Amino acid sequence: MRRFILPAATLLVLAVAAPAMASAGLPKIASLNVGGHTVAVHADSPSAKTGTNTFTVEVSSLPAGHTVHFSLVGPQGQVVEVPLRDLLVLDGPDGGHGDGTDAHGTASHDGGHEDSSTGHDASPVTPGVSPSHDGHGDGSTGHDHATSGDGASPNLHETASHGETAPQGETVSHVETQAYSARGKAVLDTPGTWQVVVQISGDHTDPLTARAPIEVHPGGPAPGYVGFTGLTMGGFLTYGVFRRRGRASGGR
Amino acid sequence: MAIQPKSVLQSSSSVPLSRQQQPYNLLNLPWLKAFLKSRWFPAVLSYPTLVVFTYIVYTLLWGPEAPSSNLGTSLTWVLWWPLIPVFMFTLGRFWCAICPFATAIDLVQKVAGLGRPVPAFLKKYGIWIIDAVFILITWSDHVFGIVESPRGSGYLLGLIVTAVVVTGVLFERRTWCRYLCFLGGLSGNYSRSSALELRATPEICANCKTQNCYRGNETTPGCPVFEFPRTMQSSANCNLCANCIKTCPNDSIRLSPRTPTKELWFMARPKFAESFLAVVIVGIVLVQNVTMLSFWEPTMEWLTSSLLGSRTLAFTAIFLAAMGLPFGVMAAVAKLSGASADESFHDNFARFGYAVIPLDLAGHIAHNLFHLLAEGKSIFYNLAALFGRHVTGPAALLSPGTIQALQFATLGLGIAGAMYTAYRIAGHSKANSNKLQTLWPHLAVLLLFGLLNIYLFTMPMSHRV
Repeated sequence: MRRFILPAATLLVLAVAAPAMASAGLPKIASLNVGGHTVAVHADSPSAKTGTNTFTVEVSSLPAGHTVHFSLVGPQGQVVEVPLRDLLVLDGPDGGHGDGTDAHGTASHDGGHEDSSTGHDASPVTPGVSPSHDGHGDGSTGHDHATSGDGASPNLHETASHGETAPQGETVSHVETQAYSARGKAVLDTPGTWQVVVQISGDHTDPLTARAPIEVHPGGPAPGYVGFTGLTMGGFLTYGVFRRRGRASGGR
Repeated sequence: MAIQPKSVLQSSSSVPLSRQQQPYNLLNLPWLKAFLKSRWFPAVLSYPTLVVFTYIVYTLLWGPEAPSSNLGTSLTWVLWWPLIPVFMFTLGRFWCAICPFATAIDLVQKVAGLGRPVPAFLKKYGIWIIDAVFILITWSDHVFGIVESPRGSGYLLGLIVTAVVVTGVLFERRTWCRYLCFLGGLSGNYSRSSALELRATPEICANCKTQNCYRGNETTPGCPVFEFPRTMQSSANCNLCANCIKTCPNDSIRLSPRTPTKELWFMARPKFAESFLAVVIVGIVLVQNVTMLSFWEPTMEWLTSSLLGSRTLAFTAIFLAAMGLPFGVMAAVAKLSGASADESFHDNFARFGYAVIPLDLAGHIAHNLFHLLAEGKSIFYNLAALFGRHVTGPAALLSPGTIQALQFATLGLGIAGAMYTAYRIAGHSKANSNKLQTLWPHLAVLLLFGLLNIYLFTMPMSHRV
């Protein structure tokens, strides 16, 4: 038990101390274009279901200082806000022999890729800026580049454009972007067609919003199964209790 | 009744042992003895296990349907299932003492147990029912999806709980565990290889008039799995619940480490059904691995088109062949070996089938080492999610090369253990038989099974989560 609790506790401490972002190899249920930003929404089931769902929202390239807001709108117009929290991505050895599908998550669903970036543990999330990217362009390479993060977030992939030089020699802008990935839980009460709503907003820009329909299916086991097992167990327990009482009263 | 001195400790045989031969009694450790005699044992372990199990069933049935996100799947198939054979090898059937099904039976019987005696057909055919259920569950796993589907796993566990409740209400003690639990059948076989044994001391028991170990006393029930420690010579059914340690007024019970597989060398009454299960497990490992090979899908497609377009029918055909192949090979070998040993095919199969158990155990551990070590971190990720933290990353704890090396080492030990067991079993052949001629066919087939396992472990394996 100790060997189980201690590593788990260590992970939780790490999760608090060093949040980073990463996508998970989970079933993709929606893909949206929010003002040019590609957003993917993953669920923890092949489709969203009634009951508790965990959604993972990925933005491949989110400008620094921008925030992502995620909500769902139900068939009856009910709105479910989904507070997002960053994913902490951990490093580790490749697992498995031969097939290389070791990423946590059902790699068979979407390949289980492992992008990540930094961010703050808040909702909506404001991605942080790595100290190595201070906004001063070097003006020499003119290429986007990705760097690894520090030891706390080893899979960090931060993409930044630093003072890019246009072909005409004109410096255009300092645009720093990050791969963004965060998760949130939501309880959906009714099956049917829902809308996922993703809003990206920046400090000095108007919020950009996009919607996409998703199907929400009834969650949980088949009612017939629950009925069969419940009735069988309940029936036998009742039989046992009454039979014992009968024996006890007959014995007196 | 006078308590006999501890110097009369004996092995499971009835021949008195010299002081040097006396097995070490772990109950000489005061803290361990006090713990096992305490009323908190095994409750302090079994009730938390029941709570965790209840959560697992809940999350399997109502939680995420993606196995990678379901904590129940991780805990069941990445942690528990891989660790269970390791437990069996080290501690015998100790898991059965804290198993949630057993705890559920105890609880059910407190309120609704009718305590009927075990039906005669269960006593006679229980092991065959276990064999059949084991095969059926393996078949269902591939046809309906159990391990890779949280819902499927939940359905299976729920059905088992239902059966546990029914038998708990109707029959006395842990009839389910002794005569029907498919895992109990597996545990029974594996526990014969274990490194721990609980036995009574015959000299002390000879003077006993209470038989509390079987009947129980005012505070503690008797053996829940119908064992009589006084005559018990096998660890196949003992689940180390410590009831006999608590109830024995004479401190006759000892708990001793022993040489792994030693029990298999001296099977007094070998049972065909138990040997059959051991051989069937070879087939199950074969099926588990062969479905991961590259020729599997083309073969399935061809067979499906040949069998009314039914994939289920096609798989069933291959499944039966995979089950039948090791049995057929073993049966042929038993026929050959039996001729040299002047015994029937049935007797030879029953005797030497136990030699396959160390190989089964090693194959089971080796196969699941992959899941534990290549997917182990998924447990932490899902546990963190339970507490509202989202963590992800590679699920592997060790590199593929390291895992494979551990698998091969485990298999190597299993093959060696199986062959040595066969050698010792052959040593107990009839005096007029040719022991070498009796032995070599079994050595050859064990080596064949071992090499087959090694080959299959070089193939890519599918993940569970």
